[in-house]
Amino acid sequence: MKKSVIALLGVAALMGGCAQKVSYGDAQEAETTTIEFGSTDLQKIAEEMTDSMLSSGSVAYITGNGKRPIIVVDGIKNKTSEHIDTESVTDSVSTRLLNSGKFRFVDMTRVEDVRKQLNFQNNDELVNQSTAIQFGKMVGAEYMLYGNLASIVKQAGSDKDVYYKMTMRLMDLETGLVEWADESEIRKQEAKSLLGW
Amino acid sequence: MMKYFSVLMFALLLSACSSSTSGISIESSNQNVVIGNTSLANQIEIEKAIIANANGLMKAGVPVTSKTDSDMKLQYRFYWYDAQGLEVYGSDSPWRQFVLHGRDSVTLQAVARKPEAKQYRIYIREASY
Repeated sequence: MKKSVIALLGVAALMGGCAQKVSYGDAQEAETTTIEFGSTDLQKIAEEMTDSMLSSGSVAYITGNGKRPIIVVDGIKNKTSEHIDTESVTDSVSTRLLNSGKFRFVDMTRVEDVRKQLNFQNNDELVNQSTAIQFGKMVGAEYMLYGNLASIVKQAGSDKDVYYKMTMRLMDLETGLVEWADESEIRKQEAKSLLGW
Repeated sequence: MMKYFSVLMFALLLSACSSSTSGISIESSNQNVVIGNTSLANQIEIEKAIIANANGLMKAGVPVTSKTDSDMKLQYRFYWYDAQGLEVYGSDSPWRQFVLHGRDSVTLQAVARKPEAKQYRIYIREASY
């Protein structure tokens, strides 16, 4: 009697536990799958940088009286040893800044596509020339946003500690002066234990 | 004897895998504190929700004080509402992590991303890692 009950329980446990499933999670949840740069770090950096820029006094000065300065995003230099898509970080920061209504942006990554489109509009016989957009009317950027992402990795046995530091600066393109700079720090730790809890 | 031991181990295993994601929230419009997790409410204290102005955008500040001696790993999230009470940017706000050291006090701050935000709510809970 006992053996058959145990066998039945064993089979039930196996069948219940082996089903592979895919589920949707919360995109804003903290993600701790591995110690590498993750979605939570990206979100934290984007939030902190935007908060800092919007509350800064020098930015208040350049955006005062309804002026909306034009920013070009130069990119973040990845100085860590991991592969990190830093363009997604700048995309997040520039989207939030644009939605705040205090800045305007120019996008350097689509310049060639715009050139192709304008060439088509001005030179192709199909387009009605009175509706074509003329060359030479694009607005130049006044400020440049750029940054550095560095990391310090320490490993001792099975304990690992990674420290990320992201620095961003806003430079006035005409004078070369840095109007705003801030840094954001993240620390992640990994400890592998023998027993599992 | 073995039966009781195996039942105990099974119960222990199950309890180690579950974690509570409830927490405490406070609203800025009426300073209403909603306690969803009583054990957390015994360990931290949030008294008021401060509203300030940062260059025309709403700036939120909530001081949190620890009532225990050890480190606490917590997460918080801001929800922003306009004057009518509709969410402005709420579902996009990510959970931020912070460590509250023993008997320490930290002010959790954020700046609203849109000028329409006029009220906010903060939700604080224990981190699940």
